[in-house]
Amino acid sequence: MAIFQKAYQGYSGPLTKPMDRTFVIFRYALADVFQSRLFSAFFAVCFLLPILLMCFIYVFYNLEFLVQMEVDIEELTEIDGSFFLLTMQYPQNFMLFVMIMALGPAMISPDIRNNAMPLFLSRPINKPGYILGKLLVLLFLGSLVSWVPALPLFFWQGYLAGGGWLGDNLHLIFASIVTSFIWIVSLSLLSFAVSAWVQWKAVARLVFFGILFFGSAFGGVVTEIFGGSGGHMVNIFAGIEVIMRDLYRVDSNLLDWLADMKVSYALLQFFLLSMISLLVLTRRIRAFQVVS
Amino acid sequence: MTEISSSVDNLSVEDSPEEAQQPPENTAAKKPTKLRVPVLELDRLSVTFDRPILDNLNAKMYGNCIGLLGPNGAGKTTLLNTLLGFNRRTTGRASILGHDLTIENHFVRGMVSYMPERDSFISGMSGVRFVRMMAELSGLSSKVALERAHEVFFYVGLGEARYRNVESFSLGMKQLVKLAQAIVHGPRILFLDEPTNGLDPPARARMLQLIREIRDSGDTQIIIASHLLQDIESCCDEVLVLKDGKVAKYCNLEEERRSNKQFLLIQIRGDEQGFVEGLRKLGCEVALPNRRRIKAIIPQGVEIQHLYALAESLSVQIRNLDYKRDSLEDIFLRAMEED
Repeated sequence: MAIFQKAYQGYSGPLTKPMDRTFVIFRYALADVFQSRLFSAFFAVCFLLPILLMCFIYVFYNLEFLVQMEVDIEELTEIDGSFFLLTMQYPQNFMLFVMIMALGPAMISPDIRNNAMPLFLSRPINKPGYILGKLLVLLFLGSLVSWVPALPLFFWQGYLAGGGWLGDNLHLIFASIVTSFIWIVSLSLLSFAVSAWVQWKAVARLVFFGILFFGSAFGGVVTEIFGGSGGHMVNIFAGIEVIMRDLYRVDSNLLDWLADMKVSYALLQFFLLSMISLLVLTRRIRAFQVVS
Repeated sequence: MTEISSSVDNLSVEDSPEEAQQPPENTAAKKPTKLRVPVLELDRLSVTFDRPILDNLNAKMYGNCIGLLGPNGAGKTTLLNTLLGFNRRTTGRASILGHDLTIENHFVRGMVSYMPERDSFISGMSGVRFVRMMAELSGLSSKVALERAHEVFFYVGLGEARYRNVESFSLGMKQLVKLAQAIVHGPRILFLDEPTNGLDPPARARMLQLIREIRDSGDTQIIIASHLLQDIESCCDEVLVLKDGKVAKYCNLEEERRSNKQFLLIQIRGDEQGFVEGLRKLGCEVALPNRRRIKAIIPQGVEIQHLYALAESLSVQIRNLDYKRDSLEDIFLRAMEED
């Protein structure tokens, strides 16, 4: 079908592997994300904290500098799991939340609203492939702003601290990866489900925000009235904090505001949230709407 | 003789014999039209939602361009959706080019393409990027997809608009973009759902011309769902008429055209009985649909002059003489009237 011929011709060349179709969705969605300058700026800001922490760790072990600055070394807190949890994981979780709230609802709803689903699903790609392609974008970007910059920080701290610090704190790497992964996947699926349901991205963002914060408030009220940890089951902020505390092996006295909730319940909470979101997605993402 | 001359002056020939014998513009004669494997095979196919939508459909169709014709709500789009794997069949089976849709659904989706009825696009994308993405999703490499996306835009006549955002396109342009995304990867089977919806006459003619060109390329078989008889008649060689989810009529337009079953509709004054007898002696098949009107299928070798000679010999006045052929409209209307 050369341009000068302007005649229709079929195609009999090689085809890509079926799995590559998911990455097509991923590539195009990723490129779309960076068309927004605002998001690009936000994404750059997400790297400021790891850079600042890297500088802080350097300064922490630079005794000459600390003496010059007249800092009392004994007053400085120890760099351990609590430090990484409070200074890195918590703020980055917040950044992840903002990022997913900005991107998630805009990923699925325009395709449904503009009736693009039949175009995708009439091709050799199925619903899981489509959802995975979109999810990979948030997983990729989320990883870049959470556990990926945390890794050099751990190694930097381990190198400067010496004395087997890295070996004693290897669990922090695992904690960072797993916590970020749980947070990204569950929030992403929830944002996709909301956007597939609402179909208008601005409204979907509000609903996403509302579900999380009203859920949190409702959970707090239930806990206050009835006691126990049942109310925390609808508060995913409590759930992720409990998981973080456990994985980072943080002293509970230090983080005494954390919910009194078992880790298994918190994990169950995220599992249920993801399953419900997937259920909504598979029901809402369809090639056509049945009109009774 | 004067009488006959005046009768000839009054002739209202809708289709002259020469025109009627010419192959129509849509004839796909250059490429083989028959395949051993049916393009579309339906075997007691039923689809039920809250009520039966498709009911026990049976068909075996081999055409290069297959039409699904029917009034609104007849089940055309549901049948297309079922063939694309969007709907689950309730009973029966369907296959495309011999591949069962249930067992080989993924494979079938690799060789088909779909142009939906409604506006369908991905927001925020330029035309060429949108079509390129669709090509890549169909399995073309990124480089080939880009090349073919540009080519297909020129092919459908939107070459100059290919960098514009799809959302800014007019309705006619959106229809063409939908066609472009459907043919960019050169599918084996192309499903078109109401392809001329909302198009003005020139755009409609252009769309039908493109469909005929794709059909005549022989690389792609087409299945069109439409309620517009003219669209189906000008593109298709086989037609399945649907009514209330059932097959109301199957019609092989290509065979109809080849057999050239044209008949004359004759209006006379005089000895009708004798004239009919005379026609039968000439080898014509004759029917009398209503008073003073005679339908006659004329065999090879019988010319109009023979009819005038017969009329003269019986002193019959030929008042009107029309060439007729069972048009798709006739077939469709009969199918709709039949219960």
